[in-house]
Amino acid sequence: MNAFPIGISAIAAASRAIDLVGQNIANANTPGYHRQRINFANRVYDGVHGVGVDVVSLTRYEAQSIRTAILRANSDAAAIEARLNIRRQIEASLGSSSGDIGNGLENFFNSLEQLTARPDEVALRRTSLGTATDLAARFRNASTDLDRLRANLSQQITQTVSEVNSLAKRIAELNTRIAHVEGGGQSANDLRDQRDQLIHELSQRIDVRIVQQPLGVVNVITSGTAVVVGEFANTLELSSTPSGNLVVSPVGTTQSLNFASGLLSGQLREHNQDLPAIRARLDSLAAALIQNVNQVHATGIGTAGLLSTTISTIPVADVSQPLATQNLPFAINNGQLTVSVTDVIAGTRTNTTLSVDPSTMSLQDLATAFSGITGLSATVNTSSGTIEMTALPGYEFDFAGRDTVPSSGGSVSNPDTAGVLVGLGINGLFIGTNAASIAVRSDILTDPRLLAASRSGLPGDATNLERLAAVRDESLLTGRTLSADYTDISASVGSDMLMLRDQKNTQDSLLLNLFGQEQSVIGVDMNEEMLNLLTYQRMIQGASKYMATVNEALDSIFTMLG
Amino acid sequence: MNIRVTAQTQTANAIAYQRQQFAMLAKFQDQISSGLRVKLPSDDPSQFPALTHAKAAQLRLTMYSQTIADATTDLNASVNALQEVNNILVRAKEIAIEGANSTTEPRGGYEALAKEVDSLIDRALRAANSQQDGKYLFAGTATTTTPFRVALTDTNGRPAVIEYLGATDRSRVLISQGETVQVRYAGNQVFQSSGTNVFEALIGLRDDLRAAALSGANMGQAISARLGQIDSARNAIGETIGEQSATLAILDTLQARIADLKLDATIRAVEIEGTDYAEAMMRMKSQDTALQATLAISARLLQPSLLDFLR
Repeated sequence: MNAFPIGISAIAAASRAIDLVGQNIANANTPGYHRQRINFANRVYDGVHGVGVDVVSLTRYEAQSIRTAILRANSDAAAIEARLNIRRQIEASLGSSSGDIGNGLENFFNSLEQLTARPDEVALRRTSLGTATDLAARFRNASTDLDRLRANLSQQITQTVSEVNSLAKRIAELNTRIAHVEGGGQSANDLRDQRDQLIHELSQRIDVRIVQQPLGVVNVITSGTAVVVGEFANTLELSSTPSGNLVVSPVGTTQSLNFASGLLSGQLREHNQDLPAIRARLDSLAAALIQNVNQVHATGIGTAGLLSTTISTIPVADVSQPLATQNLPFAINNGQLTVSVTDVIAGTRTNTTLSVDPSTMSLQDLATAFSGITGLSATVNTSSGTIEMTALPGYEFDFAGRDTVPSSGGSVSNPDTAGVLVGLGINGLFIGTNAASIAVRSDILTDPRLLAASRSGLPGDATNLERLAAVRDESLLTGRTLSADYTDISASVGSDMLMLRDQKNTQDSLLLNLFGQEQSVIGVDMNEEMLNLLTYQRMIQGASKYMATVNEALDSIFTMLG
Repeated sequence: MNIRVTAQTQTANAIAYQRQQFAMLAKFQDQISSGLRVKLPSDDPSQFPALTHAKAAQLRLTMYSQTIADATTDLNASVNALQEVNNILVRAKEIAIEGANSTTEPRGGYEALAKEVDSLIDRALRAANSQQDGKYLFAGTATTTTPFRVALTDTNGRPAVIEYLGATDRSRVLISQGETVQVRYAGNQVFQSSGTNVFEALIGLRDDLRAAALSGANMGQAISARLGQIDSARNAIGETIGEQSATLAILDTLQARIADLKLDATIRAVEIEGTDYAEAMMRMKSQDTALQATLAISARLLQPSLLDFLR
């Protein structure tokens, strides 16, 4: 007679089932939990007699294809979000429309134009120089901000790489444990949930592809390399190239990984490409400003008088090599430079035109040529790579190209066709060569009369200011004026952001949709669990009643016997 | 269509939609309370260049209207000074006519007239050296140099030769992109051109009136010759006044046009940058309604389950 074992097996199976319902309900809101179902089978003795019920297995609901799609969408969304966050910071560093570089450029040129009405007012000159200082500071701030952003980003990338490594290590450990459990014939559903959750987190950082292996083990592949192979995790390491770019490669190799998506790909792309590109555009904008303003300024004259000494501000690495080989930020062309020397006592002025050929002429040769001019002497400082021009006592010089005294054939329209003055940074308004180094020459700030507003040195002459102001309307950067170029920089950051924001919205709703689809398979439905609970409750009640009935029947038999 | 909808799905959807609606609501709230629709390039990248352009135009036009105002002030002062010189010449002419007509007048009478011309010379010199904002009006670009001074005096210490020390170029002011007006004229061109030299005419008249050697008839003849000189000097001054008045008229017109352009730029900037309150309010209201609906639905849907009915 098997009545009691049958009843007991039913109660035992139902208890297991009730436990599982409890587990499902308890984890209804656990991220990554996959609902499980209990599988019963009838217990057979001798292949003929049914002797009760057995719990044979627990099924873990899975939706592999949806999971793959989620992992991919996850990586894409993370890359977009990373880029969007960085763009937002770039946009903030470039400033709002009233405090940005574009506005600074407008203020600077406006103040120069305004100064044409009162070129002799020192107070107004100070205002103009104030706007120039402000503009230079805006350039420097923006470039410092972008550099800081890049340094922060490099720290974040280090952090992301170490997270990837630690996730890979934990996934490999779980692979080991799952293989152990499932090799023993049991199901390791809860361990699989944990591993899936880790893979989910990994997919936010790098793009991942999952390859199923025997015994429940998975291999995790990313762009170009395996991150986890069975029980082993591959470590990624970060290195930087000479140009300051960051490269991720599997440890012990020189292979550089190009992640297709994921947080790391977004961060690396911003760090290695987009940020440097914006920085480079700012630098070329600053360089165009410096070059064109200085070119005009160098060939003008301030109201403080002509020059008695001047020193170059852009150093030359090797003073005895041809200038063309020295990688000067503002190239010197084959051309001419007209130097005017005034004999103060005699009241005469002579113009000397020097031919400058940068392919043969070194800084030293230039100094020799200057020293050959009556009343001038030039020396080269080999350690600092600069040239200093000094007028001999009783002489003064300038580069304005005015007619000689006594007159001989009129003034020179462009006294520096070679671009020597701007190339070496002589007598400019700005010093520096890019957005990080731009500044207003400090001696002009101390003595605003040095601002070369004129081409004659007379206080009411604003003709050089007119030429300076004309720089604003010149198309200096591929058909754009200075401020139009800046607007283009910030507008392109803005439109990139808008595009990324759209992409992010798309990805978000895609993820939400996929999540819903996956949940429809793996999610715990409370109502369903409740109904199951009722079923198993009835099962216990039924089995108990069954045993009670059998017991009663046996009782009757015992009474008869008794 | 999902077959099974679980609590987690409902929660995730509710959270996602609420987040979206809250973000939109915050955006409209910001637009309404700040009054600005475009603060950063990403707010409207396609309109951003137009906005910065309009704002730059506003600033630049404001600046031009200031340089025009400065140039107008200078030119007005210049015209006033020239008018004064013109009055001086008119008076000199009257004196000359008087001197020429009274052939029988005693020598003492001529002396009185000559004394008045002395003071006219003095006034003319002062007018030619007039300043605006501490800077000379008739020194050309050498605005800090006194343009005219007495180079030579006669035996009685009276000015005999007036010398020009200013620059030969007129100073210019930028009044719009690439356009300049000449503001401070070179004094030698205004007062000392050959044939129309103001000082020479006045000093000549004075010396003629004092010339003891001239008899009555000769005196009349000499003074008549001076009359011609004074007239041509007056004509020259008149021409300069005309030239400067014409410039003033141009500046006046330009100022009015700049005011229009500035208004236009301002309107453009506000149209791009400013919040369209009606639209923002409407959209905020509808967003608010949507949010409330989402919240209400979430609250109702997340509640019921079989648990509520199992007793």
